[in-house]
Amino acid sequence: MRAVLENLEKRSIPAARSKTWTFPRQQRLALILLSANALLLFSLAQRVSPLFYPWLFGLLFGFVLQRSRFCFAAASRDIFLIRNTMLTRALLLAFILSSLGFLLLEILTPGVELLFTQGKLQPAGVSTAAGAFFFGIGMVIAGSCASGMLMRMGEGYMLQWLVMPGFLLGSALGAWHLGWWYDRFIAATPVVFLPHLLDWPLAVLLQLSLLSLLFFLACLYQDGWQGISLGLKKRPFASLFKKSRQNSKKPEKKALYDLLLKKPWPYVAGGALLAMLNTAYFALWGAPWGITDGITFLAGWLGDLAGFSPENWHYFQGKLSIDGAHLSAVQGNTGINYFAYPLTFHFMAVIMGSLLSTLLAGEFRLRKWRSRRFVPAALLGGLLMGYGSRIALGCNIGAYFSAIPSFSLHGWVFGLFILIGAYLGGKILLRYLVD
Amino acid sequence: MEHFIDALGEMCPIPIIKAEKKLKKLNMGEKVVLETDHSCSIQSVTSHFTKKYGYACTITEVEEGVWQIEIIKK
Repeated sequence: MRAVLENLEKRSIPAARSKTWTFPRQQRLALILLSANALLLFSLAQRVSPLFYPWLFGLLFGFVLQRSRFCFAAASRDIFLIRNTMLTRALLLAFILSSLGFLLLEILTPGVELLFTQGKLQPAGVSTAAGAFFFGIGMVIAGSCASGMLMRMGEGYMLQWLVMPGFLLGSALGAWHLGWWYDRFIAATPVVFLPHLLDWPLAVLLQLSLLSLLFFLACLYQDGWQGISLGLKKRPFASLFKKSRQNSKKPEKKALYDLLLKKPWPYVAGGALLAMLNTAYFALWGAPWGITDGITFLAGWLGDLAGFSPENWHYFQGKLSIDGAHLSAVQGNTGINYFAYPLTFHFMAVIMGSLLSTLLAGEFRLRKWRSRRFVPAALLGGLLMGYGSRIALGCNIGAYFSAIPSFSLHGWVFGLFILIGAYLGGKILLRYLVD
Repeated sequence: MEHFIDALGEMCPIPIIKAEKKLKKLNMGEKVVLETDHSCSIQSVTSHFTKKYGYACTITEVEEGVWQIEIIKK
C-alpha cells in the first residue's frame, strides 16, 4: 500500500508554484538596458563609428532569433531525430527570400558586381565539407549552433556559457591550423560563383527552383502525400487570419504585448525577418551577416593576452595582410589590438538583443544544466564548432545563411555536410545524452 | 491519468523525444505534463505535437521562464 502511495506521489504533478509577481521587474530592467543601448547607438552614430551597424544589427538579429526561437541546429537535426521539418522549411523560405533580397541589391547597384566582390564567397571544397561536418556534430551535442549559442547565452542558459569557451578554443585552434588546410586543399580549390558559372538568369532560376523543391520534399517527408493534401484543404493560412481577427476584437494593450513580446513568433516569421535583416545589413554594412570572424578575433585577443602570438596564426596572417577599413582599428600604433575588431562587438550585441527580448517577455532566469553529462558535450561541441567554422571559413551564418543567397557553391556544400554532421551528432546525442 | 515529465535543464530535442516516447504508450485522452525551462520548447514541443500529431497542447508559465506544457493524446 505504501509503495503504491509513494508511486502515486512520484507521478503526481507538482502544483504550480506560487507565482511571485516579479514580471515588471524584468521589464523595467529591459527598459533601462534599452535606453542605454539607444544612447550608445546615438553616440556611435554621431561619431560615425564603424561599430554602429554591427551593434544595431546585432541587437536586431538577437532580438528576432530569440523572439522566433529560430534554431539552425534544429533545422538540420530534427529531420533525423524527430522527423520534423518545420524549422527546415522556415530556413528554406528564408533562403528564398534572402536570395531575392541579395539579387535586388545586385540589381540596384549597376556597374558593380556587388555579390561577387562583397558577398560571402569562399572556395567550395574538402575544407568546407570537413568543417561543416565537424560543425554539424558539434551543434547537436552542444545544443546550439553559433547564433543559437549567442541567443541562449542571452536567455541565461549556463550550458551555453560553457559552449562559448569551447568555441573560442576551437576558433583559436582552427585559426592556427588553417595553414594545414590551406596548403593541402583551400589554395587549389576554386570559388564557384553560380552566376559566373551559369549566367545570372539560369543561376537564379536554378537556385530558386532547388530551394522550392527542397521545401516540397521537406513537407512530403514530414507529412506524406496525405498530410499535404489535408493541409491544403485546411487552408494553411486560415489560422493566421483567425488570430488577427481575434486580436482586432480586443485590441487591449495586454493582447498586443502578448502577441509581440511574449508569445514566440512563428518560425516562418522569424526566418523572413532574418532574411530581410540580412539584406538590409548587407546594404548598409557592406557585407552579409557573419558571426565567427568576431569570435575568432576575441580568441586572438585572449591568445595574445595569454602570451601566444596570434599574428603568426594562419587566419590572422591572411586577415591582417588585407588592409581593410575595418582593420584600421585593430592595427594600432602600439601593436595589434584584436579586441577592436568591429565584429567582436557584433556578436556581443546579438547576446544583448536576446537578453533584451527575454527580459521584455519576463522570462529570464539562470538556467542550470540537468546533468553533468552535458558539460563535456557542451565543451566538445563548442570546440568542434569553433574549429569547423574556421576551416570551413564560416559558421551556420557566414558559410550557410549568407553564403547561399550570395549564390556561392560553398554555401550548398556547407548545407549538405552540416546535415551529415547533424545526423551523426544525433546518434551521439541519443546514445550519451538522453537517459 | 496524468503523466509528468521533468525536463528542467534539458535542451532540445530531448524534451520532445521523452514526451513522444511516453505518449506512444498512452491511450487516447490521456495526457502528459512536461515541465521545462528551455524557452525553445514552448514553441518546438507544441508545434510538434499539435501540427504533426493533432494533439491538444496548453502552456502555463509556472514561474518566470519555467513552463508546464500539457499534451493530450487525441
